[in-house]
Amino acid sequence: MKRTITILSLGALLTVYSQAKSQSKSALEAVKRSEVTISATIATQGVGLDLKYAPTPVFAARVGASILPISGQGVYRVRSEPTDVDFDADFANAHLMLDFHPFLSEEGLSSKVVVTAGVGYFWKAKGDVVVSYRGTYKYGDILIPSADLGQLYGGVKWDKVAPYLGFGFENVFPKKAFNIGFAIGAYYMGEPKATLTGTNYLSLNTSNQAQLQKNMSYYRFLPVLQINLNFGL
Amino acid sequence: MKNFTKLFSFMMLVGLLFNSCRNPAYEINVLFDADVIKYKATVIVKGANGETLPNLNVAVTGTDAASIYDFSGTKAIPAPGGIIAVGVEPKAIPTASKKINFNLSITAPGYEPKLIPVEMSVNQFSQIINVILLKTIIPTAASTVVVKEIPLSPTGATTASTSFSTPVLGAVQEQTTISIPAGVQFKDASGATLVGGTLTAQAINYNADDPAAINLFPGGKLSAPNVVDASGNTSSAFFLPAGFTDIRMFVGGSEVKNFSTPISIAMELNPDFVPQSTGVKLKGGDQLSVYSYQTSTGQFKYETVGTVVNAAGKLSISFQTNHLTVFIIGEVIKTPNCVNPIATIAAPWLLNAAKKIVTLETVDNDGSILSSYPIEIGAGSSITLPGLPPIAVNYVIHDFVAPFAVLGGGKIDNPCAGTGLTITVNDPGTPLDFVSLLLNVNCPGKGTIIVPNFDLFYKPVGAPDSQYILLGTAVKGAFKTTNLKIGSSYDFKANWGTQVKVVSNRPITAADMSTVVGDNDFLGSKSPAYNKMLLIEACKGQ
Repeated sequence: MKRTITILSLGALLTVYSQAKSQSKSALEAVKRSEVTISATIATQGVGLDLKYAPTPVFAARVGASILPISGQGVYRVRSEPTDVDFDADFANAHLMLDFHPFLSEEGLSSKVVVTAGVGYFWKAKGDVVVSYRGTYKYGDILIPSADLGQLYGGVKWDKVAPYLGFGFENVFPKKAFNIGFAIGAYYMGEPKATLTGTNYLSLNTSNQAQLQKNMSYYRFLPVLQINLNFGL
Repeated sequence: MKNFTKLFSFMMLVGLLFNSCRNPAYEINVLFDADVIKYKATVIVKGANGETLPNLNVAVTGTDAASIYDFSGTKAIPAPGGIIAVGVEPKAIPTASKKINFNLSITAPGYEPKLIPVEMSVNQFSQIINVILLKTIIPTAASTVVVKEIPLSPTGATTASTSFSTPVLGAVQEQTTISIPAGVQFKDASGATLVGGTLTAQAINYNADDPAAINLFPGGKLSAPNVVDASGNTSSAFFLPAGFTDIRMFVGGSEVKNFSTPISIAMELNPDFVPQSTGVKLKGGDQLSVYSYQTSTGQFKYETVGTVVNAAGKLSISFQTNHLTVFIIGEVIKTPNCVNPIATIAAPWLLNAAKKIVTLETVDNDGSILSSYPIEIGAGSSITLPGLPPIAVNYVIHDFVAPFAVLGGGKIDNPCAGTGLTITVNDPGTPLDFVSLLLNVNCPGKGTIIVPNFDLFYKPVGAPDSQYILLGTAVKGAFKTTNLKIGSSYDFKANWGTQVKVVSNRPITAADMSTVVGDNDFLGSKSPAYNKMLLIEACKGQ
């Protein structure tokens, strides 16, 4: 099923590319434009920098990198008791992207559509979580305070190389030195590897690792919502 | 714009197909380790004739009583079927510099009360203690009893001099004679004089030479943590008794503790007793100490020293006392600096982490048994050997089940030096089956839980309850043993707090008897509805 969808996706890209090729190139190339653009990106996969080279109005190639070091805390309930959850996600990638502008000949928003395919190399692609049971564990009349209960440590790691597919909106020919673009897409990260260990009275939760692995197998895509701050050079 | 709409719709479709959401915590049930009590003592209480004692009262006293809980975690200590399982709460476990000491006060209607001192050392995670309660007026192979009714004056005084003796019966050839002069008044623990028409006096005399007498000795063993010597100093000590007797008296239902004037006691002694001080059999003119024991406090106290008299071949010591209690005559070796030896078990035939219960017996140089108690062993396991005297002892390992074959033996030159040793336990010789059990419990609506540790007993199908034998402790629901035979059936009993679960006539059909108990899993073949009720109850609070 996944292979079929991938083939369909590539087919769609070829279709839009063939439509773009039929446009009148002469009118487009007559306009003065920046062939090299530098972009600051703010996105769900982090903040970064891209360098873009567009030899033709229809096609451009981008290289860049982005990083996402985030952490946070939350309180959830486990067995009706409040549980502290500290999480830490760390994503950092270098990427090579190919941009296509398939609808340049159309008017309005369609002309700004850019379809992007590429690949990212994630030297960091992991998430860690530490769960601390806040309540008191009762074993008969013996009370075990949370400080003695131990902690749960969960970890998730994804593949280092991930293909990317997405689209966005962007002016092909920035008439000014600066403009803004938007992009939406996803990296295919593959099935992550999940680990779950515990300490003290939570040490037996290693047996939950298989279920966590199963649950995390649904998290194969890293969604990307991105704002590009483009500077023409 | 039309093309863009197509592209956007396609991309959204692809995204939805690939990236369906699931809660990362979906069906993850956080498991709490129920192995909370790491240091545990299983106390098996029976009557002197092997009978099961269903109505025990248990109280914990002593230095570390506050840290002692039932194995199920409750402060109340139940004793279903005469089985007591107690342990130390996690924050108070013993350390290299701090042992845990407490007493179990065990009483049962119609039986002599007992106070069992328990010591837990670091790494001594499990111990099994056999306790025998003596029915007050019933003689056993190792004890005789006399009960005497003595009339009293209106002021509660004896009207004439009276003397009575415990009988000679079977192997108990020694007697204790109690002589009460005229005019003696009797007082209770508060010192008040007791008034009534009759004094009921009873004396239990023990055959100190009988191995069974060890369990009947005050505290259930010859080592004692609380002994006051002739100088008034208190320390641990080891008793080598030549005789001991338990004397109790009642006036109008109140127990006598003291007398207005002393009474005389003459105790005949074991003629085969060999004092460590002389190395030869006891004889007239030898001197031995007399100690008393208070069941309520577990304290031994030096009373006097007596000279052995040989009268027509009967060796005895006479002394006077103004209070009542258990009296012991023999040698007492102080052990305040005794460091328990730790033995490593060499039993390579115990494969796959299987456990086996054997009996460890120690004897002194003249063959007298000093201790005899069950231990649970595994290949390479470490066993602490507590309560031994600072004299050379021999040890013998017996199979715990009939025919009680000897599986090993050796010598410990100084059991108080803390020296490590290796105890080799030989294969019993009969073909062994390694039976494993892993019990998982699926709680309704909560998923799998970790089963708290519990003791498991077994017996031949249809045998009386008194024949239940400890199979071992299931830790985190897992258990491996060599005591069961594949193809045989057994009755099983598991104790958990106040609850007792009996599974009768259960066949062992395979080496792996693992099972999952749950609403949609196995609920037993005989009473699934009752078992479901137990399951739901057990799952509360999990």
